[in-house]
Amino acid sequence: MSTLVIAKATFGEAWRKKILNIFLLAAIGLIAFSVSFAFFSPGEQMVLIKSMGLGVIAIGGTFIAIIMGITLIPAEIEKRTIYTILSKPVKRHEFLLGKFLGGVFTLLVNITLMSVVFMAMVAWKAEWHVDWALLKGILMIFFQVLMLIAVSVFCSVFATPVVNFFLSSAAYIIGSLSAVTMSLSRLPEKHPIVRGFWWLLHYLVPNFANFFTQNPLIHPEVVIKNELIYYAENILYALIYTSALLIGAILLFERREV
Amino acid sequence: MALAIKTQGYTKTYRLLMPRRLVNAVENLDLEVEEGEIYGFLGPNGAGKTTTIKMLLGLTYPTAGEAWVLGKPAGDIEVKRQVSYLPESPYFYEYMSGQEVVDFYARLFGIDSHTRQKKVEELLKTVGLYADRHKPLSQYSKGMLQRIGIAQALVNDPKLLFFDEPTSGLDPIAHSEIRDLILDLKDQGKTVFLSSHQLSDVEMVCDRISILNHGRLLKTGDLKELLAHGKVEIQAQGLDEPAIAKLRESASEIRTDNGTVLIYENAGERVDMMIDKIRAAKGRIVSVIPQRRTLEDLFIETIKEGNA
Amino acid sequence: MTRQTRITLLCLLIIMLPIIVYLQAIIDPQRAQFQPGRGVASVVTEVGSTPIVLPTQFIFGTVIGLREVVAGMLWIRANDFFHTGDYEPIIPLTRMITWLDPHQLTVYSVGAWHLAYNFVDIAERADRRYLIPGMAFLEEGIRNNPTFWDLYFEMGFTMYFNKVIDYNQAAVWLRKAQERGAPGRVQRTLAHALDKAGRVEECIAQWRYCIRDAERRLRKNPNDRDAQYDLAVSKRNLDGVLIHQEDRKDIAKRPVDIVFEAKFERLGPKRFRISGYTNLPDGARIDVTLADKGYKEPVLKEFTWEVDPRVTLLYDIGLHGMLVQNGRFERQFDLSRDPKQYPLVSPEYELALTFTPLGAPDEVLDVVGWRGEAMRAKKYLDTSIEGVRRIRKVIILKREDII
Repeated sequence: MSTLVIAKATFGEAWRKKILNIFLLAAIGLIAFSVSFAFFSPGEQMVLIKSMGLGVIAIGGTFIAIIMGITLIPAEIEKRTIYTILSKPVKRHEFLLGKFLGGVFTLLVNITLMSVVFMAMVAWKAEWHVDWALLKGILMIFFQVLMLIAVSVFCSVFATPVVNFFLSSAAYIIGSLSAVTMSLSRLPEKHPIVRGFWWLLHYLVPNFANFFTQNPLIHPEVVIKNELIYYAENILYALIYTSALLIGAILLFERREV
Repeated sequence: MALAIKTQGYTKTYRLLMPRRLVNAVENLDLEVEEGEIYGFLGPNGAGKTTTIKMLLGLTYPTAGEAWVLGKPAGDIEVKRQVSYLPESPYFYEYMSGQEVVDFYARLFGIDSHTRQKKVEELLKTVGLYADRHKPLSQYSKGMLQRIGIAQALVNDPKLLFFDEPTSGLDPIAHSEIRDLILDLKDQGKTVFLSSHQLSDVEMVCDRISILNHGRLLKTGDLKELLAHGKVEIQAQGLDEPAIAKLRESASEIRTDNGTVLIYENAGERVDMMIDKIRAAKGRIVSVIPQRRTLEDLFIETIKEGNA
Repeated sequence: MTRQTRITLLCLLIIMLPIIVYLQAIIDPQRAQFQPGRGVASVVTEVGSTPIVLPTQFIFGTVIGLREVVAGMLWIRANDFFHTGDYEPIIPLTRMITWLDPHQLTVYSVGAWHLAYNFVDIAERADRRYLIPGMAFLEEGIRNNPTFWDLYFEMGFTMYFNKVIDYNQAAVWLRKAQERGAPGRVQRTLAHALDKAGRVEECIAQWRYCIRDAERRLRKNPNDRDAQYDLAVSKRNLDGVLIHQEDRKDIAKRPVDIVFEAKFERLGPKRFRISGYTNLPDGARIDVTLADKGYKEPVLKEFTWEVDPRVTLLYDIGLHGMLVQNGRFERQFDLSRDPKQYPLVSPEYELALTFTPLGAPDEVLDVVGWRGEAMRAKKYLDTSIEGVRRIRKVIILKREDII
């Protein structure tokens, strides 16, 4: 109950944050702008619109997730609103989960708005034929940024916002380089300790690259084997990883001095 | 009388890295606050007052010692239903209106919608913000924010209230209103744990006080009694120089003023002893007047003694 | 939080970690389907000895999974270069784009076309050395997109039909495109390729196939304009072939002695004239090829746009060949203004002058037959290609003869 109350308050505050509104407007502007590339054939233009649209939603979601995640809890401590909340019968984990859910809901609303504009642009260019398959890509983006905001919230329990920004960004970049960390962990000529390091990095840092599924959506003729299974595995991965991060955050936050 | 707050050996030690050392923010604090009283918790900046309050509310964890709030261990989640806290310079979600903020805190107690609505209205009227209830907090003055803070502190009808500098930055009228409110709370049988630098306010409302410095409890007790234990002034005349010199050897404080000798002693046996010595030196007692001190005097004196 | 709760949460966390590792292990091998490009490897790499570097502003995009967006941005840049006529950067860009997103069919087809057609000399004659890389690029595109008909069509029509002038190979690729659901125009192109290859029975069968397919589409949708057009054209072309078949029946029994003679004349440094006479019907074309003696076209396993700068190739073939008019043919060549395209460093050259009936106009085929069945010649009759009779004269030139 307290969790939902805090989530609602968090959403109300985040929704009014100027920097997030600017990101949102910029993203929507870019998506709308992509239809102005009129000097290609209709097929090429649609490829560009879809790739740009999905790319902008992904970048927008990433920025919003990091900016929100790094300030959700530290801002409450810095402004001391946390005192008046935790002095009420609110458990620490309820507070943390409430902040997290509020952040997730803000992300969901932002991504939905960007997606509506994107789907409308694509439909308009396709003579009002809606490409529902694009929702798969948007869903993957959402779960990707869900993990990212969980990373930021986890780090916010022990790091300042500035340090957290770099930690979260680094996690995102490393997690996007899955193919590289995987290759490095398998190079036979490397020392076992070096391989072990890359193995750990590959499996323990959240693999954001799993969720880059734009290519077959941009080229719908491409046939993917076991597509639904891949999506299901990734969603499960995101949910379990997010839960693990939240459990870690709760355990750390329980003993944190506010 | 039941105890609202009890601490035993309550200690909070911070480990600093640069330079490496241990700092005792609160050291071996033994405190007892009775239910239904207004308890003043005083000390200079950095004395450990807010740290103590945070430990009692479970916001920070003690390094050693124990504490009980309303009979349960400090930080117990169920106790928080009967406790409230108004921090120094409170900050709330600025986008919310006054009504929404109080409602938000009421929701945290799980109060049902109908009761909550009535309660919020009542509280806003009590703190005089009913007319401004729809304005966002970003448009509230400092005084108005403080009142909202009081409203959120009363939303659960608590038995024990922690007020940390409740009158900080307020004008004299607001000061007075808050003082009256605190006295009202006492009349309702509530306990108020008041941490403040405004000694005049404390002197007017508190029953008992503690004075803290560098984390250590220096003085505690009934306010009237503490202020009553001042010095006694003995005025004497007709004493010659040798006699005055002899008195100077034993008096706590002595000065002369146009032939009148003024001696200041702590109340009790020393007064009688000085009177006997003056008589023995053939002096004439003009007056013996007990000196009543202010809380400020007590505070400064206690801090100085503590530093020494 | 009680100690019990803390321990429970910690145990839960410990259980989750191996599950996360397991899920990642099963996701890893499947990821390549969704991210087919070379990803981060596309940032800086070498093709042959030429390093190509992704512009810095795009590097971050490829790292965070926006390869397709970066590919799109690069394609816009490439398009700009097309418009301004600055052709050199286009190939590295197309290489980078297809590494980032190997499903960009248009980029493959445009890139291949660009290589094969756009590197030209002063006389707008394409540099033949770039044809093989162009085809290798297209083959890579086909390997990465094996189920799409588009690039098979490009290989068959743009490359083999129009550039290599090998109608048999064109037919092979066009048939592959047809098997992958290509539209009516591709089916008709296949029929034309078979016609020009002299495979008459197959050509007739293909026109009949085109007609059946168009009729099937019209049954589904009587207002299908493409199907209506395909039907009309296919019927007309089938009639034409049947008439020709009838006209050229037993043409081998009506032999024609072909007279052919040609000479090479040096006009100045790197300038020469080729002229000759023949009794081939007007409208026939004589292919001219000049190449380093012993030159064999390279086989590229992997695409590279690096060509051997020392090789000289000149191909005026097909519709670019010398036109026979009133029994004569003649053309002047000036290689002096394009030293890069014609380095002329080899000591010897093969100048081949060829008449092939494959692809010749109908008025010529009516005389010599689809595959030259009726041709006889005392000199220069060439039967090196199975089933085809050609007239071919090869002149060996020394470098000094040209320079």
